[in-house]
Amino acid sequence: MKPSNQSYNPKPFSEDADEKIMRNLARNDQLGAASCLKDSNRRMFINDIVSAYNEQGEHRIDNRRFQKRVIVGAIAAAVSAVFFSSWLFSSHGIETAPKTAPIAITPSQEEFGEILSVHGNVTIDGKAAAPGDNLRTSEHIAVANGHASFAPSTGIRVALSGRSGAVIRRTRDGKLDVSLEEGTLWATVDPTAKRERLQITTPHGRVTVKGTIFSVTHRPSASEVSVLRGTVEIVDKTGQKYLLSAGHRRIIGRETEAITKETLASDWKRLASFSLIDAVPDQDVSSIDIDMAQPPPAEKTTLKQSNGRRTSSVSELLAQVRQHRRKKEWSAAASSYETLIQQYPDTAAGRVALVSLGELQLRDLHNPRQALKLFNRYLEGDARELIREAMFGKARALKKMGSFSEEQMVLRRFLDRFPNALQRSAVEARLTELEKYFE
Amino acid sequence: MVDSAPHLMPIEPTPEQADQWLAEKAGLGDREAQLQLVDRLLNQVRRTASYLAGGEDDADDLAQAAMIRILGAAAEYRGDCSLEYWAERITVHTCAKRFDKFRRRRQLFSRTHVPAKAVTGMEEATDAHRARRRLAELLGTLDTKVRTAMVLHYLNGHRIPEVADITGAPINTVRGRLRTGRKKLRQKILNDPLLRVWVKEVIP
Repeated sequence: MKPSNQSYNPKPFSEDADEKIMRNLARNDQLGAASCLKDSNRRMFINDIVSAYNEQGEHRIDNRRFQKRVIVGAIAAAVSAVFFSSWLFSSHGIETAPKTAPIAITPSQEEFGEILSVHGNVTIDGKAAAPGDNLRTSEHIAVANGHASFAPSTGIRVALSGRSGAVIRRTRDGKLDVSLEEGTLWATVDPTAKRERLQITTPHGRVTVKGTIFSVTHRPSASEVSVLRGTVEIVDKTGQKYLLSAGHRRIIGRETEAITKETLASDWKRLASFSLIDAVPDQDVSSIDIDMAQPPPAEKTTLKQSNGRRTSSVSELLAQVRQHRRKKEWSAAASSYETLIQQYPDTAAGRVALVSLGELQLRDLHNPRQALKLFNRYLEGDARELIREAMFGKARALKKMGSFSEEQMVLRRFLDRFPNALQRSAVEARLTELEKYFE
Repeated sequence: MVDSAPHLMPIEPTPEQADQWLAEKAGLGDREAQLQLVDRLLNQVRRTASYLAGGEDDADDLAQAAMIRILGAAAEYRGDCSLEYWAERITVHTCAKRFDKFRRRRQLFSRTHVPAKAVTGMEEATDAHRARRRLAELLGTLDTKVRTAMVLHYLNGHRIPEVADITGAPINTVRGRLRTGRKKLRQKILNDPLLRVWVKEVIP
């Protein structure tokens, strides 16, 4: 093709024609330069970005510290100036304006909820508390013996039990902060409710809530956090952060450990007795495996029914898989997945494992036939979460097996069903190749 | 530092849960998660940045700046849209900010005429390739907002409401920008001897 000066009739430049040009440009993606990066360069680039980010983070903290110091210094200077001038005026007999009402220096007391239930000796700022009493920020709630539950905000219920005390404040960034001074605090936080953010503070650290059921016990020597459902983030005194998931407890500053089933069962019962949950979950909780991250009821039933045959829990099997994957022991990882699929066929974990094992068979064990079986099994089921991945995996398995016409069919169906899928450009490119191949 | 013990992930998560988990860990400072997040989003971010920068050499800088902002905001990712869509929004905003910053400098060095770059290598020697590359360069000469809409809609495949959401502009404004972009690009194509012929082949 030679550049030509002949005039081109602009008539075909309809909107369709413009679109066609743009689509052509997109399809061939000349500036999609990322793909041009060689592996080593790419790795270096990624490392550079992460290092640059982490360094910047440190600078940001340093800057913030500096700004904080400047602000504190400025306030200190202003306060000293006021004191100095007032001393100057008073000591030199200079008349000042009539005194006005003093500015409140205590934080304003905001009403934020009410007491739900009271058992035993419970006081708010030294006065006996009763259900329905309003709570205000900075009030001290003390339980001498028994327990008290309250709702600081929509979707949040908190209980104090045994000999315990707490003060609720609002942080600068708008979080509800429950400062646990002693004893045990229980909290249920509805992740679906439009609610305020909650954090629990003890002298040993801070627990930030993500939507969950958990307890915090504060003793003079240490604070212990137990999570029954969901996840919490713990920040200890040194600033180290940990995530703690359902079925685990951690004494802040020590190792995480699993909660025994008996303890879990009694914890659920206690939550019900504190009115924090409406009822103990239907199942005999002691028979449920440690994963209690709200599996759907059908799955819980399946778990219970086949409990007798089981040797490992879902989390144990997945932990095994992760361990094998880290060590690149693909066959061992595959056999753990197989056990999981066999033992928990009707659970979300079991269904997802079909696709995960399919990927493993395809990519790492180079067994496309087996991978195809697994993807087909997933696609034949009712699960919908990983349908794109399963279809895309199926097409890749067919490609490896050399069944190009079938692959073409699957890819076309994929594009029809998911025109905006992330894999779209890869699918389109492969379809073009296949069309050329069949011509 | 984050405790990365394997038991911390309660069940094999759905893709959305896994994304949120990954972003959360990256946001908390877990280097492994940060590397994984950057690895996953780099292609997309770099591609968008390249197009928005008009294929310029500062595309890598833009991509890096966008990735750093993505890492900075990772802890706030709530999983209400896909990780890629969320990253696209941050990339576009980062690029727009950068362009605003350098707008004056860009005005000094007007880019109404872009000389075609020399191409090297066997693959690049094809006319079609050169034409498309040229078209991408011309795309880079459009106004930033118009170019952003064109790139998001035509190259990254976002629908018009999504483009409106990402850029924070009303849907009709986006439509207008796309119309303007097409019109301007059409004029530029007609003035370009190489593209005039190529377009004739694309639209017989």
